[in-house]
Amino acid sequence: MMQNMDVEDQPAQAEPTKMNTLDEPVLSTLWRDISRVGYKLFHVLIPRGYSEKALRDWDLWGPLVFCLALALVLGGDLAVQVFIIVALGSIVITLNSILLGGKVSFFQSVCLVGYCIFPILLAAIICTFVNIPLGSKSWAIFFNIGFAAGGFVWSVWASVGFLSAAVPDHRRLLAIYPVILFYAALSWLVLISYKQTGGRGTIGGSSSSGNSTTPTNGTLSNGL
Amino acid sequence: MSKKYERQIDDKDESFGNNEGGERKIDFEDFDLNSSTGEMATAPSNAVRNTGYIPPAAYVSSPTPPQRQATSPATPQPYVPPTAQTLYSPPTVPTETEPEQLFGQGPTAVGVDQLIPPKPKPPVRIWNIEYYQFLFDVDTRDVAIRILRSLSPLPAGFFDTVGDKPDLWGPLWISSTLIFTLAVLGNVTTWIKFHFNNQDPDNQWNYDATKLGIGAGVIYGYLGLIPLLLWGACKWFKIELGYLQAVCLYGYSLFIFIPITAVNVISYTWLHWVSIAIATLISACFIVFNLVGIFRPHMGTGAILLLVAFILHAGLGIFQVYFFVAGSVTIKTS
Repeated sequence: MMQNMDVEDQPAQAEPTKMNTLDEPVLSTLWRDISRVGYKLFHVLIPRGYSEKALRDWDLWGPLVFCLALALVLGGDLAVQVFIIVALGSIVITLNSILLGGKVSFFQSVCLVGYCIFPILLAAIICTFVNIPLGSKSWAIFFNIGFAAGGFVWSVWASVGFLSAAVPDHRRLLAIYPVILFYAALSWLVLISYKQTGGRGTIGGSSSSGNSTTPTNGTLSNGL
Repeated sequence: MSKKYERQIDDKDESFGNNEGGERKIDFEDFDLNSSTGEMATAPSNAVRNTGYIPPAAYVSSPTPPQRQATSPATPQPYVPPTAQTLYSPPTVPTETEPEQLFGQGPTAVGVDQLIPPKPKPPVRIWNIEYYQFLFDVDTRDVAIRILRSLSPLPAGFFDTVGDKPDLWGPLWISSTLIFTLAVLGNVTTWIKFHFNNQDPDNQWNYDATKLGIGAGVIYGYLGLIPLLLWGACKWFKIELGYLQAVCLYGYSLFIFIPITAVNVISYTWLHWVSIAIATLISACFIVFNLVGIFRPHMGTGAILLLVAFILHAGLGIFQVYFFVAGSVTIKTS
């Protein structure tokens, strides 16, 4: 008798919630996901005591959005390289941690690596804006180097905290090193985009997709 | 073995048991107290139940996992006269809960609810990731030692250092680092050369994106193919060389090229050739001298294999000069 009453109660309870999520305005649906991504991002980038709880419900929206944004900002040939590096790189880093004996869930680790791309995305955006007025100066490349390096250091610092806790103590560096390589590759792409978009002057460097690169060993390899 | 038990049981009488009158208060003799998984002891406990005599833990001989066994069952165990301490101690609540601590300390009376053996782990099959953890069974210290050994061209027993734990971490990440370093520093070097050498303002330096692709193809291909060929040749000529050990050897031999790549940013062509020649020599000698130990019983075919390996590795080394001298400059011809 009690069970029958429960079964009858359930549909009446289920329907109001179903109608709520269908009826709610689109903005609130979007905002729920965006706020979740923002919450996780905040806790990943500025690590505090309870950051690990924030990552426990992983999602891949954040990494996808950041990867897309980075590809758009860098543009051109580099977009494809960004996708390949981010996709393959997160998988390989996660597999590396698990194979070294780390007790880390696969998607949680992919989520973490993807979220920590954000500083490099910031660096790419800042570099793009800095290159617009400064692109013709030959010393502008040092700004690019500085921002790319800063993004790299911040990304590595953010992800090291989580990953090193997951792996046994004696193997910490073995698990962290691929992360360093991964973010170094992405930062290098950010640096290279300077050549694609901004740099002119004695260094040259209009976009390389149109030009044919003819190797000219003769003129350059005479030594300095 | 059964004779010994019978002898012991004959020698003892009920006065040594901890239960007068034959009642058994605690069933701990049903469990193998030497085994950390708390397996049931089998045959001896049958003999025990009949007489109420509880042998000291040294005599309970159910199969234990090999890595946790204190003594092998084949060696006769010395007779330790049971004392009151080993036979009975007042029930205490153990502070540790590890199975080794609970079950490995001899016949200590413990609470019954802590005698539940831990759940057996599910078997790890070939489609679980954990199955492949044996390929990465190294610590940071091990990798550092192997890398340092690879820097020396003198025969120093690399395979002894590796032992029976060849790892794939080293080959994988050393080769990936080398590819990345060659691509990045190759472009940096050509940029520096252009910046310092270029007279004509119409020339342009272009980022050579093909260096990454070519580097990845050559180095991953070399690391995938050559150890396989070497292992195949060894199988053919009945020489003992494991595939993982060959991959390990070749992988760690690539390490020395990474600092040499950094040195080559200094953009003198003679420096490129000299530094890469030195690195190639060290690396190839490392490979050859460590393989000599394995090939010594088969010196005829072994010498030919070593020569081929040396030449191939020299080819790989010389090829790396390409990354630093292949200019990526378009010359405007007006």
